[in-house]
Amino acid sequence: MTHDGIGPATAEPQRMNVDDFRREVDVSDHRCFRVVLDAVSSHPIVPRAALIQVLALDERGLRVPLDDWQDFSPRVEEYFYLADGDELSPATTDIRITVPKGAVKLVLIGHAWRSGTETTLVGEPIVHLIGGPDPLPVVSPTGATLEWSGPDIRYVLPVPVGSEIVSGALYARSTSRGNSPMAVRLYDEGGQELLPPGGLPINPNFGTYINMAVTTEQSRSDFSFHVPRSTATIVIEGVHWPAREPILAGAPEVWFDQDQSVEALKEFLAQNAGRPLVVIDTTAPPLGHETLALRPNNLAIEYAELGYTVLFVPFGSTKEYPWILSEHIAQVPRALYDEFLDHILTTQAPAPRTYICSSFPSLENTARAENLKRHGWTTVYEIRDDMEEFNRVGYSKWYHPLLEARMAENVDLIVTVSTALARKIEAMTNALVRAHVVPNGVKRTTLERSAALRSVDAIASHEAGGVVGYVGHLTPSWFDWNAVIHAANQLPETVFEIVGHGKPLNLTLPSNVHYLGPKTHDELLEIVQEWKIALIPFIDSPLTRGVDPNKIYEYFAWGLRVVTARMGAVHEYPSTRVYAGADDLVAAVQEMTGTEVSAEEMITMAEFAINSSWRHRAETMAQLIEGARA
Amino acid sequence: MKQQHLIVYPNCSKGGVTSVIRGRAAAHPDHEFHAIFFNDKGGLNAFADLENVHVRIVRKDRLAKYIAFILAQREYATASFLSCPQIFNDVEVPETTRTDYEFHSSDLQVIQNELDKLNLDRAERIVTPSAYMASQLRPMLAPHLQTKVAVEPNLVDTNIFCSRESGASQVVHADRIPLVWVGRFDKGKGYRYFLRLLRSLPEEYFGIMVASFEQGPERAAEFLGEAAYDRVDDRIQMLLNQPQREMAQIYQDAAEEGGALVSTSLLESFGYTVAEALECGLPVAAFDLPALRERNASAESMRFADIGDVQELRDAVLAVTTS
Repeated sequence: MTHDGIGPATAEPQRMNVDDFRREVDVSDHRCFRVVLDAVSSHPIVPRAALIQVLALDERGLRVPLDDWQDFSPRVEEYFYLADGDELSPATTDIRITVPKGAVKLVLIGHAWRSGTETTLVGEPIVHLIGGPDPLPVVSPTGATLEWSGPDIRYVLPVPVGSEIVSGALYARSTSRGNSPMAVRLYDEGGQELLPPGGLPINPNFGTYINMAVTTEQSRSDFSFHVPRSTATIVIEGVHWPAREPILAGAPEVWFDQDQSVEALKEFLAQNAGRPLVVIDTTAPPLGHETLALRPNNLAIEYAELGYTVLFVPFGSTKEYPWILSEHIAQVPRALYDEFLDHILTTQAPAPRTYICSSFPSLENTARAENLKRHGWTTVYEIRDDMEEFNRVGYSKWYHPLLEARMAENVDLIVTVSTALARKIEAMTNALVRAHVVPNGVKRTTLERSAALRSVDAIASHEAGGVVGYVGHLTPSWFDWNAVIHAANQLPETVFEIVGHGKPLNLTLPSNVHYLGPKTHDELLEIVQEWKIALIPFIDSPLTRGVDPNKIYEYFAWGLRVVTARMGAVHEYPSTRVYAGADDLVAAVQEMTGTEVSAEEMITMAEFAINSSWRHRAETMAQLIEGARA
Repeated sequence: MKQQHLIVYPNCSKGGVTSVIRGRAAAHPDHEFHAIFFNDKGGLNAFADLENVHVRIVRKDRLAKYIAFILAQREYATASFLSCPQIFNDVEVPETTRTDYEFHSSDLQVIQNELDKLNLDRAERIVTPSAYMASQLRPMLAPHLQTKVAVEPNLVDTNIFCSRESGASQVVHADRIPLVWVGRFDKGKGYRYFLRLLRSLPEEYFGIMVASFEQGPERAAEFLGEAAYDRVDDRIQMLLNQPQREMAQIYQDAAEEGGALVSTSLLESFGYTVAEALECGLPVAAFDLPALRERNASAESMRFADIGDVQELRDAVLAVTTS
């Protein structure tokens, strides 16, 4: 990301005796200059101690009178006085000069005007051509804010190569009020004006614009728009707006999201040419979210460490996330997805390529898998959830079982997270489809940071606390609140701690159920020290039956026994009691809290957790993929 | 200053109008084409390789002002409006700019719906891509408008759609004969006829079916169900929204492998698919439509079959793939 802004001057400003000041600029008819000088006087009490002579000259060097100029003397002809400041507060003189017809040069000359008084110019005087190509000066020579309004504003932004989104903010004087448009114009390298950008409001007279608005609550106006191809320069211009005009105060802030650009992604692919490529196309959220990381997100990181280059295509918007995440991992917004696949197909040198459709057998992806397969890619359908059930309860509108079956029959490899899902996909397809089960896993960082919690030494702390806990989403469409409340009522001496988002409003909990709200990973490490067992109290449905719950691996990493509803292959896991119904949940909690965890059991749980790392899962996946490729 | 042309159309996609614009831009590299859309349908990248095409997608409620502004700012040689009657009615085009309203649909009901909204007195020309469509359109117009009807055949981008030397195929189907079908899963494109055709052909024939503009799973699922009923679901590849370069490659590969394009379309205003396939050297078997015959009657590698006659279409396929 590049950033373009003009901050206040920080270096010690230069100083110059007014008699030494002379500035010449080439000019053309009727252009207007804004001249800003900051001055201090040795005797501020003496008025009009210095002046600036203004000379407009034609091609022969002869003076051309300024139009409608007020101050004239026989000695210096046109002039203006400098305001008299003192050392502590230099005075700013801010004046506009319109070039008279025929003039080609403007000359400004400083003169001390009262004997015995010395006037010093502080900082670099500003002689700015209004509407000219130079950056808009937004502070005076000593750093005071210069305010601009209306057509005087012209802010020129060179566009870094590869930029596709420009974002920024305009700041207005908070005492001004109202709205005024700032026209946006685009130019190519040759200075030819391009079509206006498409994503902004438009006025038929001055074209696309950014609205600068000032209210009692805000004086900052944000903007963002797509930078079209061929754009070399963006110009933001004030327009004459007879209604109330906010006054621009301070430099506009502007940044170009080069990291989020097609060019950056192409460069990423070029740098990774030759490495085996994995494209993960998924219903999972973008990479880079602090807490939301599903199987595809975790495996993406592990694949990269195993030697693959990963291009991740999440379901949601990538606007708030980086596109290039590391040397070998990038993510691409879905809108640009086909463009990148096409780019890979047309420009990249041959290398092993894998397409993983992770629980997203839409029409687009089913067709995409077929297309990539015909181009020699290895295609994988990874099933994390029962999408038919999601569709049945109103989600995943893109789903149709015939498309899923088509996907399954055409790919080279099917992987599911549970035997239930494997059996289902095998039953859905006509061909002799075989699905491999590769369960979910746990992050290495979680394992590392929670090592003490699953040590034999930690047993005493878990036993002493004896708490029954849950971490995760609390939506009533998944979480079986009735069963948990029933268990809590039946076991009043047992403390239940619930962590997570989505608790229904107006839910009354027994006094031994403590809702702790959402917690960070660090906070959880403190909390779970006193837990003895952890719950997965999901409502029994085909949707949950197919799940291999991520959280169970985290529970084992924390050294906790698990009481869970029936799902996936959890009945095969160590220290796990599967319950059926609310009464059985009570019995299960009693059983699992009623006996002490032995050192041997804790070691078994720890080994299970370590062997369930995402790295292990990624290695298994890689073996299956390479086997399918062979 | 390059001659500038303005084209306004709803959907920025990889569909037929993209071919229209690309064809014109490729044929006139010294002209500049400004294509303004109001729906982003994933086609922005379809113009990325053409320096003389500038694309903007503008929100529909801002479009009239946008068009008015750029018409006032620039001197366009032509302004063409396609499938956007309201915008056409609302925008003032300078007298120095030739104003065309173009009809590219083959569906007369779609055209009638547009005509009901249009003030075509403002158009200098009413353009169709074939004489056949012009003959269909004229009776639908008021007499004073009929003289404005002009036929402007679409142009195939021959930079992309062209024959290729053999041996360059990237996708190999050993001992199998590909039949390419392009269209939508709707009744007008006749995909069912293609599935029945495939069932009637020997096993070595297989279908590469390239669909576009499909949204939602229902129509595709119906298609897959019918393919299974016809027992050809394992003899088809289902592709979606392929870019033009990829389409050209599909045609070129199929030509190299002795295949053909099969057009089961029941109505065409021009027949871009057929024209592009023929440019790539891919033989064509098609239902006999006036617009296709108008352009391709003399094409040696083209065979026609009566509309809806699958047996005749089968014979046409066998003729072009075994000759």
